[in-house]
Amino acid sequence: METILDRSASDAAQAPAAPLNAAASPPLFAAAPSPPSAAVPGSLVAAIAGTTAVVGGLLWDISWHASVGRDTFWTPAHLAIYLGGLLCGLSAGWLALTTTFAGSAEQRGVAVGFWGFRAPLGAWVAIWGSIAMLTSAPFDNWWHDAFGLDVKIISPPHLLLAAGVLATQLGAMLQALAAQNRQGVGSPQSSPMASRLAWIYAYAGGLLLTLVSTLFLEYNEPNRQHGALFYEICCAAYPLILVGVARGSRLRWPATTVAGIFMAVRLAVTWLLPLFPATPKLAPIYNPVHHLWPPFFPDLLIVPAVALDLLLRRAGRPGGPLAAPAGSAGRPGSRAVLALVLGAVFFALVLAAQWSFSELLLSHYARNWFFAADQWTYRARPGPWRYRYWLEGDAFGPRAAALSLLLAAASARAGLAWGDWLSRVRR
Amino acid sequence: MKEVPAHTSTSISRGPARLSRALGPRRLKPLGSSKPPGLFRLLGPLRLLKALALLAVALVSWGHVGSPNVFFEGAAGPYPVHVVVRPPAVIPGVAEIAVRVRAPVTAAGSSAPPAASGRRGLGKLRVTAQPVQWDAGPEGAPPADVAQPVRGEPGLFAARLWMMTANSYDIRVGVFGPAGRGTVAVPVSTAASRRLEMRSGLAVALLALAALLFAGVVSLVGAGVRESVLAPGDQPRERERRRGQLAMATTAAVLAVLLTAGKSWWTRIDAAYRQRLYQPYHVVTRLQPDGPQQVLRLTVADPRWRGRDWTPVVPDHGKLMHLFLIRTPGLDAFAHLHPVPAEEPAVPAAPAPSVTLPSAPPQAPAAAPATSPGIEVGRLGSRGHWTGGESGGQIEAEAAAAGVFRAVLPRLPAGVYRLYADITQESGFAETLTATVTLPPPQQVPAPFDPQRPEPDPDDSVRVAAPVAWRPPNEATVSPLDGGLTMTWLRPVAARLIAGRDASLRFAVRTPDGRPAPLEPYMGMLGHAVICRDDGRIFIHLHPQGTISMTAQALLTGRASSLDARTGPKAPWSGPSAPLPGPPMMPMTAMAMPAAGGGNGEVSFPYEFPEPGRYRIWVQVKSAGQILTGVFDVEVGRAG
Repeated sequence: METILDRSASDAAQAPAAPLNAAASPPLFAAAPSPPSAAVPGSLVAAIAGTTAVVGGLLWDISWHASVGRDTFWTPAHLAIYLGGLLCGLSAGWLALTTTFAGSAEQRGVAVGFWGFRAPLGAWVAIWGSIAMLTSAPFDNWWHDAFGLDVKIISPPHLLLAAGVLATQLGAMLQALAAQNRQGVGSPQSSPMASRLAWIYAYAGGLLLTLVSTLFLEYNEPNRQHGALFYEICCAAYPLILVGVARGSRLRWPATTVAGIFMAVRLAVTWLLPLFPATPKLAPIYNPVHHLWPPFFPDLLIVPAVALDLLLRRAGRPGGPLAAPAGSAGRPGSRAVLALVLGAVFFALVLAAQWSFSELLLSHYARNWFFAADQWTYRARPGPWRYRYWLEGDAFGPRAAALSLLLAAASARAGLAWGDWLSRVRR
Repeated sequence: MKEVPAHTSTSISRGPARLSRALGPRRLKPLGSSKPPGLFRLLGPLRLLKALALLAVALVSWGHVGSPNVFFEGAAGPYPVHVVVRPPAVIPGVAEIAVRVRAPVTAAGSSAPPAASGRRGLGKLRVTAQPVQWDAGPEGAPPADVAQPVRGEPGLFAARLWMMTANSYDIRVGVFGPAGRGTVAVPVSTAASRRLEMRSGLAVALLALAALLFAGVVSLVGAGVRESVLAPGDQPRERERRRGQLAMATTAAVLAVLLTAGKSWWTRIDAAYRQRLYQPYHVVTRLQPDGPQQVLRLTVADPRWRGRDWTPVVPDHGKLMHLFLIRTPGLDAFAHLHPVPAEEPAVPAAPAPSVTLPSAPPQAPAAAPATSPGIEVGRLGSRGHWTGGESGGQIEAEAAAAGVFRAVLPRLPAGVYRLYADITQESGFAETLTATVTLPPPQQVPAPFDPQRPEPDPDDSVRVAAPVAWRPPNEATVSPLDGGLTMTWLRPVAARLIAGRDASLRFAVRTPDGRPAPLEPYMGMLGHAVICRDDGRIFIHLHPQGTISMTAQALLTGRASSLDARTGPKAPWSGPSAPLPGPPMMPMTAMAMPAAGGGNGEVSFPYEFPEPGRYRIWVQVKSAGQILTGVFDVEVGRAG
């Protein structure tokens, strides 16, 4: 476990200004809206630490399967995932118990009711997530026994695990968000606590983005980035998270920060994992591997994120489609238009960035530790296919472009709706 | 002492065999209804006939039927070893390896088992096991695992290895000890053979958790919509409550849709998995009269033949195919034949629209003329090393690629026969094709000799005995052979054979005056044993070396040694002190004799019965130029 925590800390250190060290002996629950408490709640620290361990563990586990292959339940990566999940669940469970049975009126006032118990919504989401994660363990074990050890990321038990992880992350994010939203209206500069909470929320959002990108890692090779599927996945998944999380944030560049945290975590993983020696333990080995496999260089999501931030800021000005609070009389069509604009900009910029960047990744300039484009799993046969685009059955054409645009707009529209709710969550 | 009465026991000499009916009906009969009904859903109703034919061959079988464990008796360098490999039923999965090391045979005739620790006996032994996939070779193999000594069993070591693909592997067993080091390749063909049902306890627990999670999501959404946006301390009003309820109902509906989609996804994965379960090639049989004799034609009518995972068929102990005919029920009539590739092109026998030959290797045309054997030489030579001195084998292998084999049928009583055909691919993948055929009564009139007529293989043999019968377990059994010889099963008196336990089978052949009969190699082997359960669902053909295909072993070892020669010794035991078994086409007389020790008229086979039931064992040896077949029945009990 030492290693896991070390790694978690190192991941966290890569994130800009992750304020984990600031939390010393905090109270167990979020404080009342006013006056702002001096310390970050302990349950929130535990949730952030747990989700960091989970995301780091997931990437570590994928790297383990790509370079060592053979595993048991007791690999350090698995322990990081499940102990991180347990940390989220148990801290949230403790919060629920203390709030329900020993909570002050203030604490109970910032909680929601759930089957007779009371706790902040984020705690319930985290509890649900850890139960889902634990459920996935026997399910996944049976799955391996029935259908063989998996070499794929996306399978039913893995999706259940992903849902659980997603929920623990959402839980952490919601806890940070509710505390932030109770701080009153204002920029994060208004108080150190507000600033901390805003950064913790952004960090949780960055981990969420990292998790979702990890789920689609097997469609993330640079070789796919002149094809259709890659852009369709990007457009369906990322605008929702970037727009949604950004709408809830009080940072000046929220989407950019979230995308930056995502890239920092992924780059840390890409650069740190190869420092650990590893030997494949499964036949056949088509590619000799001597160290842990670094996942692909992350997508340059920071490029569209800057544009999303600018657009959202502009839309939020007086008279913009986001100026009026949701639900009040406004122009219902304007949000659809905004979503369309957001989606189109996101799609255009992702296309421009990845189309050209993948060419760099496939060139010999990228075959170094920085880009790690020459790192392949032990199952990858050598051959020229490694540095070519894989376009068979996946050519990018007008149809794929239209579908990507549509997906991006729909995803952005859902992100706007979700973000509006996020910006109002106070419990 | 009870005897199995022998009705006839013949070895076929060169010359026409005789059968009465001109044309026997061609029939396919299912061996059993073992296949889950899901198979029918995969196949359209129009293909019912084909499905029935598939049912006939759907028994799990590769290099065996229903007897997946691999037994090997041989030597790793100076150490005699007995290796048992239990391949996984699910791929990827874990194979269990057990290696029993016996003391090296020294000048002093030492025979004590070496100790696993360095404190006593012959000193410390280290045993390793390494999975080597045939096309990746030792270079593509992970580091060898160190097998752990089994407590209380000196000389026994155990290891667990992951088998990642359904393919031809060899388990490279290395033994390191005071007598030096040695290695041996044990071929293992892996294939998924089983679909795991979920135990009801686990299913109930998972369903309960799923229900909890379902209710949890619905409640979470309700709480989120109802209360999460309220100012601290506020109570939700009627409007919020109603919105919460609406959100919960919507969530439940969406989740139900998602779960339904997930269920259908699972079903698709399951169906795809069932498709990957091993199924032997679909074989169609046909009886063809050729003058007075019957010729049995076996046609492989399967799109996978010459498909992506197919490699050419190579001879195993001298024959491209070992075909066994066993009459059912009763298992009384038995024939061991050696079909050869039919010269004429294949007749498409099955109405399979998908019978195309995708990605057929361009080097091996389907109907390669027998006069151009050179095409194959380089390829087989570089990959397989089996070319040594038998150019006819290459011609045969090319013809075999067409997938049509024929065998002149010996004189056999009429009835329904189960067919088991053992073949080995160049990859080392050994499998047993199955089919059924109905034979007409044999012809009474001897046919005139015709030199143009195809002759049966001189190594073909037939044995007809009484139907399989229960035998008291404590009785030694003797089977009469031709010429007054006898074969005795040397089994411990009163020892009941138990499924899943070691049942090394030892037989002694005696001359009429009771002396040990001198045994000669029969197709390069001191003996052949064929074991079949009375329901036909378990079948295996094994030798004193065990269940492995000797050709597969030589191919896999040969590949290894050629790689070693090219890249220099990499493995610690690949030096000259560890001689690997020689090339496969060594002179037949030299083959397999050391492990068998036939000088005392005895032959033994390493085996353990996979399941309880009533089995018949045919043991074939050769003495004084005559093929002799002993017949034994045994009831195998359940463990515990």
